[in-house]
Amino acid sequence: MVVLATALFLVGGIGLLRSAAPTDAGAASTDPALAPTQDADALTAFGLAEIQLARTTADPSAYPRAQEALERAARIERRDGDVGSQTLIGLGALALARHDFAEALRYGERAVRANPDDGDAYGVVGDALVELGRYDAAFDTFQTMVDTEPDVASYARVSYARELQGEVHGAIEAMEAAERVSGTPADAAWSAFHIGQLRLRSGDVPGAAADFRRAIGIDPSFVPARAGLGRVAYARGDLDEAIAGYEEVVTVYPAAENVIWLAELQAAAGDAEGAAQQRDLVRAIQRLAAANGVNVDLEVALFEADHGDPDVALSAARAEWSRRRSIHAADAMAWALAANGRDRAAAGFARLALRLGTPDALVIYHAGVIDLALGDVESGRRLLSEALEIDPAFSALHAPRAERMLARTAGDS
Amino acid sequence: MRWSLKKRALAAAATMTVGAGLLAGLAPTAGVASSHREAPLISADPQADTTDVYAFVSPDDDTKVTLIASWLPFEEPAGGPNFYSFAEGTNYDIHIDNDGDAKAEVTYRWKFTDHRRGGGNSFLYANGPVTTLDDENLLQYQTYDLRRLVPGSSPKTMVDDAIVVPSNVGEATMPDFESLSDDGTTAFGGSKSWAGQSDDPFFLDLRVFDLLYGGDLSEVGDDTLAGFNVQTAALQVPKGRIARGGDADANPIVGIWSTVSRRSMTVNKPNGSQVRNGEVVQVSRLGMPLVNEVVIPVKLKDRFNASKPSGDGQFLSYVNDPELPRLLNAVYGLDIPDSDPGTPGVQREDLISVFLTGVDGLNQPSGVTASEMLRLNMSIDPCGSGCSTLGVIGGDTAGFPNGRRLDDDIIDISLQVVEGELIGSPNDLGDAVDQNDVPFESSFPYVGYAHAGSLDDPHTVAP
Repeated sequence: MVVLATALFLVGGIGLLRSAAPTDAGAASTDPALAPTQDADALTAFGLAEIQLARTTADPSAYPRAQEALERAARIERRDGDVGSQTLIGLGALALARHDFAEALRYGERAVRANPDDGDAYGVVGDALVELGRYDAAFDTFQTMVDTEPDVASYARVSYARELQGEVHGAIEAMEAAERVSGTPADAAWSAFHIGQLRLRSGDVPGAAADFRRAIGIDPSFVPARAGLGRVAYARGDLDEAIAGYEEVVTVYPAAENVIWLAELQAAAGDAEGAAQQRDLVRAIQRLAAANGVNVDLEVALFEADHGDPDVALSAARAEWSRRRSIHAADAMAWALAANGRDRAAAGFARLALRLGTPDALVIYHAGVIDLALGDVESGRRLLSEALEIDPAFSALHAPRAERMLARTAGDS
Repeated sequence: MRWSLKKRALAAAATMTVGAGLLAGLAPTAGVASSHREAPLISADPQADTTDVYAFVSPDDDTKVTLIASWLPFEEPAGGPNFYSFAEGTNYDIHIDNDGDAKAEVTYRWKFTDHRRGGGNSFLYANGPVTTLDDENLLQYQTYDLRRLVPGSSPKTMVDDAIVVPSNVGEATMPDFESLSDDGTTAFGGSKSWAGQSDDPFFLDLRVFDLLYGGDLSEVGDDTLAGFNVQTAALQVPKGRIARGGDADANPIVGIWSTVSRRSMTVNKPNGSQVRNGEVVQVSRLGMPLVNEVVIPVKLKDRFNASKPSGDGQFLSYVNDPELPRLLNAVYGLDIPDSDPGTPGVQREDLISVFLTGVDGLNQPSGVTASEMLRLNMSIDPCGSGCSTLGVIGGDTAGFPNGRRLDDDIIDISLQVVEGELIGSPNDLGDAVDQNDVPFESSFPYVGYAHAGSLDDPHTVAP
């Protein structure tokens, strides 16, 4: 936490001092009473709690603590017999959180062998396979997961698999099932939030707004739903309200994607200085993540392609592509190549990124821009229109550009 | 089956550390991931976590049996602002095997529906005093349907849209919770149903699982469940409604267990089928108490929760040579009992009869298929005098393991039985928690009233 606070102070970013909650929780987690324990169950629980802490605070400094606890649990369990499935799931979840999907897959497969009746083990395997781009195997695994334990966790995976394949309605159905069986307000709020995200991605702004408000009603502390309302405000054309919403969000939950949204909203409002500060903050967050063992190449590639150094973008994208062949890695390759003017090569990757028919407006927009640059006006315009149809407010930076490109090329095809 | 305490502890630890109550570890997309939709770490699913099942001839009406099951352990009374409920989209079942074949001939199924008043955007549970179950001030409530399922017949709805007794928020909101709770009983055709929040009827010192009271039997006597509530469903029916052929005189022995199940879904593939819903999948099972803790090893608990009684042969070896006596041997040096010392390895015919077949001459159906469930001989009347919370080993055949009454002292009975009480090793092991923290009621649904959220310290039992 000290590292995070210092980094953000140095870049003069947003007031981080209000994020007192993670500091307190972090302090509790270094309780010396836990340090000498030989209780593997306690260590596993502690490690999982640290991963959870990182998720809810966007503070990756919890990951090394999680790693230490889980590895100690694994050593104790190995000494006494076999490493337990819960510890393996924890190690897999940690690898997922750090975007080391190959390692996550190995831990997940070990967890399945240790306890083939635990749905959570299949969750680790399936998540890793999805991110590695091995979709058939991933979807088979999610099917096994939900057939083993139909619950919030597995319904959420079904939802994501359907969304990836362009089945937005089915994805919403599955998330609604997840919300129905949610055992805690936090789970219900998380489910409602994802329903809102799905509706936003299908252009249903009023529906999304209702979902985000429901999420906050269920759990007032659930910050991402407030970011959702910021997206809604932008979709309705209220730039000031969107900026105010995101400023509030990043103060307590400085996730890079939220800071990027804030930067792009501020730029759209003409606040170049504010936007530049947020972009510095994004880089600090990415460095901080990397310092805590998180691989951020994919995120760096997209961010630098839009806002910084095309060379950095491309080498980051290549590094990620060498590790995994997901649609998102392909999209990062396409966009980084395009930023370097290599549109011919970019077009092939853009097609790979579209191969599941995923209704992701930004990915479709990337493909459209690349086709336009190659002179394929018909395809480019079709893709740009499709992106805007899915979500007319998919990005404060790119949605207006898509509109302008369509206007400029009207009559060219 | 009480879910593995280990899994429960993991989820609880995650919750407490982050404070925000992210029990299933659901969380937003992490700080640096724009593509990676993160999903739960450990799905605790407390609403599908069956805590206990009870079955007994009704003490105030011996023509009827009462069946009770509870879910969602460790409900803190002051749990606001959201409080507790049953899960929607979930089957809460009590099954009855009335011919000893390890399959259900009758199943009672509760299904719950959420309702919100006042637009549904307030996170408040109630916005004023709640004096009736249908009080407009109660902003969140549930209703349920109760169906009776018999294989080969279409399900019959016994109770339709009955109101669930809410969480006991506290005396300012619910000045007379006891009358609210009493109003939760719905009568139908000589039977009664009740569902809602109650006191957790189970009582024990959970440190039994901390290497058996930390290796020191003087460290007992703390009712870990004191002051916690659970979600409970209760049913009282004439004996004939669950007896084979409707004849409880000729066929008085029934097996009883509870399950939770939900429908799976299909992950559609681009070239695949468009079928949306999959099979119904069982996610929790419980019949006899403590099987999870005493008999089934940790690594098999998920399998047990998904299993059917007809497949219980796979667990036979764990009943015949359970972990607990070995643990008691390691920690306290107690002998490991053996019902047949002449045969190599540990043999526990006594435990096989208690856990899997019923006790011969007491509650064993003829031609029984070995399977784990509570077995109740309905022809044994409720005890009038000579009642013992130790049940059968206390000389009171109306109690556990002949069914299970709310006040049967399960931990003491189980410890004594696994240490050989029935096979010539009498002992008086126990956890020094001999009764529940609140009284049980004398009429249906018998469970104690839910603890109020306004109590200062609900977990301290008055001496």
